[in-house]
Formats: sequence, structure tokens, C-alpha cells
Amino acid sequence: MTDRKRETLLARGQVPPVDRATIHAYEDATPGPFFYQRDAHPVGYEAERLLGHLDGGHALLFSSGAGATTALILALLEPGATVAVADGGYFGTFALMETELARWGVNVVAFDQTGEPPNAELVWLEPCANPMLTFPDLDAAVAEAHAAGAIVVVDNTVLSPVLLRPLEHGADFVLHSATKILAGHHDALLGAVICARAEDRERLAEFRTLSGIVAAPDAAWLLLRGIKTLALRVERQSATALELARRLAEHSTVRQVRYPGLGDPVAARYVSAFGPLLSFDVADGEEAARVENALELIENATSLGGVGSTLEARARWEPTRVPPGLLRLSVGLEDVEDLWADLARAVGG
Amino acid sequence: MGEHSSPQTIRRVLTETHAWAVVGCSPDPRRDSHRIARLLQARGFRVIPVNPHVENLLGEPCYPALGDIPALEQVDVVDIFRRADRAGAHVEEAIAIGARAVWMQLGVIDEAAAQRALDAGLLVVMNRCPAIELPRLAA
Repeated sequence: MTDRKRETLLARGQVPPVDRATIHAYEDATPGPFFYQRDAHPVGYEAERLLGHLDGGHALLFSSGAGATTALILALLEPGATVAVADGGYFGTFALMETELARWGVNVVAFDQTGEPPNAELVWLEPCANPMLTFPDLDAAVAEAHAAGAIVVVDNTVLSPVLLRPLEHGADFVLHSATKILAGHHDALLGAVICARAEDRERLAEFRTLSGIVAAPDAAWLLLRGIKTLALRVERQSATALELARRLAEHSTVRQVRYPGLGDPVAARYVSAFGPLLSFDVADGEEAARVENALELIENATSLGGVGSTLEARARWEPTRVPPGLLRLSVGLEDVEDLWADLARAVGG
Repeated sequence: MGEHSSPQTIRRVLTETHAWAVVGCSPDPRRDSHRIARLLQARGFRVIPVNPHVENLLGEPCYPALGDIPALEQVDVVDIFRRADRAGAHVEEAIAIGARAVWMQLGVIDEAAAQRALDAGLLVVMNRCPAIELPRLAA
């Protein structure tokens, strides 16, 4: 799919009405494709059709990214299976597996995704890892994982299918926290899985119906509405993020900036732009808290990918995994000079 | 023939056809391909299952490939339940056997193949499910 076709696909057409019905009547005493909302609903169907088209696979919506992760692991693996999760990626993924899912027999190991994946039943990659911004050599990692008999999940939350389509690189599943750049407006909680194979989608759909980890029609509608501007948002947010990353890298009180757009040669082989997310380090936790409080434009809040920029010290959530002075910045659609003025003043120096 | 998957195209495929060859129709009643083929039958369509591993399905003889369907059977629609990277070959077969339309199921996405079918004069629907589109006709 060329860029032009994708933007056209996203922009055209009307978003369907929000059908909130939990039941649809049988016809000739036979349940139709929609009969009970927990199984499937019309707005979700449209959202899944679009997500499947964008990523080139078979899509399923879930109530959140974490819900999607739970479904993937419990539906696809057996007790005793090992999951190798990219180190420096979303801490909630590792935490979920290490605590709740471990109780059901899941083993989890962290690994450096810029190298070869370890032996595991499932390898979990995260390009532009949140918040350490590492980038795997996707083709090599998928080939190595498959050669060892593992299935590969790529969490593509940060980049979106506008920038990267992991199924084209051989991944078996793509996962999105669709709450982030896909929905894009900090107002809809959603997850999505896009499967390379239809039979995997059927298995996950069966699990989803039984477990009830389902997306609500209103959230799915907001996703469909938000996604109309996805290509534009990704382009602009990536461009602004790159500019801010460059300026931060030259700033005297900033110790380190993590953004693949600052010369990561592997990332440059896979993507033409690098998404809205970056992280940078100030001296320590105290200094990080001072920056958080000094911001006036950028919201001191969690999450990422929305039209409004957000920043937070990640050590409050994952103190053993990140430096105490690490600040994660998700760049929104505000003017780049306004954002820089806010950041430069808050960072000081 | 215009564009694929437009509301007009979907309506025409669902209202102006009778015989649907279902490529990749599974004998497993839990699989989507089986359930949707059964629904098409219930809606009065004639279903011609295509699956090289099965001899009879849904009360119909099952053929190994589209090309094996006897010429007397006029296939109106070729409904494709195969992986996206295999879909193109079945689109070529659909053109070759003179089908009027090709329908690629949810997640079966091959823009180039869709364009080839359009160029050959077929009606084309892609990334949609007839089980969901049929009830919408009544709306």
C-alpha cells in the first residue's frame, strides 16, 4: 500500500453510527454475525476491518493494550512456556507476565532486543521501546526466533502501521495499545492484535468472547474517528519529536537523549520517521521532579501518542528499570517552538 | 468497473449472484469459513466448497481447486478464505474460470490482485465478510 493510498483510505467515508445494543435479534431462530456484544458488535467490526487493512492482517479489538497482551499469552501458550520480552520496553508487559501470568505457569525473561532473542516459545519485540527507545533488527530477530520455533509478537504501539508494518517482516502478531497514537486523543482506552493468520484470529476471538476482554462500541467509534487523521498526526508528531530530540541533545543540562531518529542505523533501515516518543535524562530524581513541576504547556501525565504532549519521570512506575532522572516525552501536535520554549525553560541550565 | 468494495459493488455481488465457490472452506464447523459458507446456504445461495483435503462438505461435492469445478457449474462468485499471500493465485483462477465477482474475506488483503480482477471486469470486494454485509442490505 503506498502512502497516498493509505491516507486516502483513512480519510474517506463516514464513521458508522454508534450501535450500543448488547443484543441483536436472531433471524430464522439463528444467531447472525452480531447477536451479543461480548462476541462482536458492528462498530468493532468496522474498526477491526480498518486495523486489519492498515497492518495487513486479521485484527481483533480488546478493552486495552494490557487486555490484548493477556489474551495473547493465555490463548496461545501453555503453562511452562517461556516468553522473552524486550528489555527497556513497556514495563506493564513485563510486570503482567512476571506477576499475574507467572501464577498460571508463564516464565518470562528479559533480553536485549538489539541482539539475538533467547530460546522461548514466544518472542516479544518493541521497536522504539518505551521508554528506552531501542530498536530491534526486525528481519534478523524474526528469522532467529522462527528458526528456534518461537512465535513473534511485535508491540507496535509507538510507531503505528503508518511507519512500520511488522507482519511484512514476518512477525506472527502485531499488538497495539490503541489508546495511544491510533486513537490519538487521550480519550479512548483500547487494545488491538493483528494476526498474520486467520486461524489465530479465530482462536483469539474465541478466547475474547469467553474471557470478556472486549472493547466497548463508544471507544471503538472514537478510534475510527481518531484514525482518520492518523497519517497526518504521525508525520507531524514525528517531525516535531525529531527536532526536539536534536535540541535536547545539545542542551547543557541534559545528560542523554534517546530517540532512534538521532542516528540509530538499524531503525533507519526499517522506518522513514521515528514516532512521537523520546526519553532524556536530567541529573537525578529531584531534578526530574523539578522539571515536571516547571512545565506549563506540556502536560505532566502518563501515556503517549496523543495530540497533546505529555511528559513524566518514569522512575515513579519502574524505579528498578530506568535511571532516576529519566523523563519520557510524548510529542503532540503543538507548535514546535512553543514546545521547545516550555521544555528549555523547565529544563533550565 | 470502478473501485472495489464500494456499497454499490457489495450490493450487486450479494443480490445478483447465486453460486459461490468458497475457497479454503473448512470441514470444522467452528471455523469462520465453514460457518459463513453454511450461512450463505441458509440464505439461499448455492455453495461450491473448494478444499483439496475434503471430498464432500455441507452436502455438496468439494473440489480440490477452482479449475476442477465442472464447467457446467457456472460460478458467480469466488469467495477466498486463504492467506493474503495466497489470495492472488485464486484471483487469477477466478478470472480464468469466468467468475463475475471475487470476494476476499476479512483480513485477506491484496490490492494488486484486486486491481487485476477489476481490470478483468470482475466485481471485487475485499476485507469484508458477507455474513455481516448481507443483513445490512435489509437496513
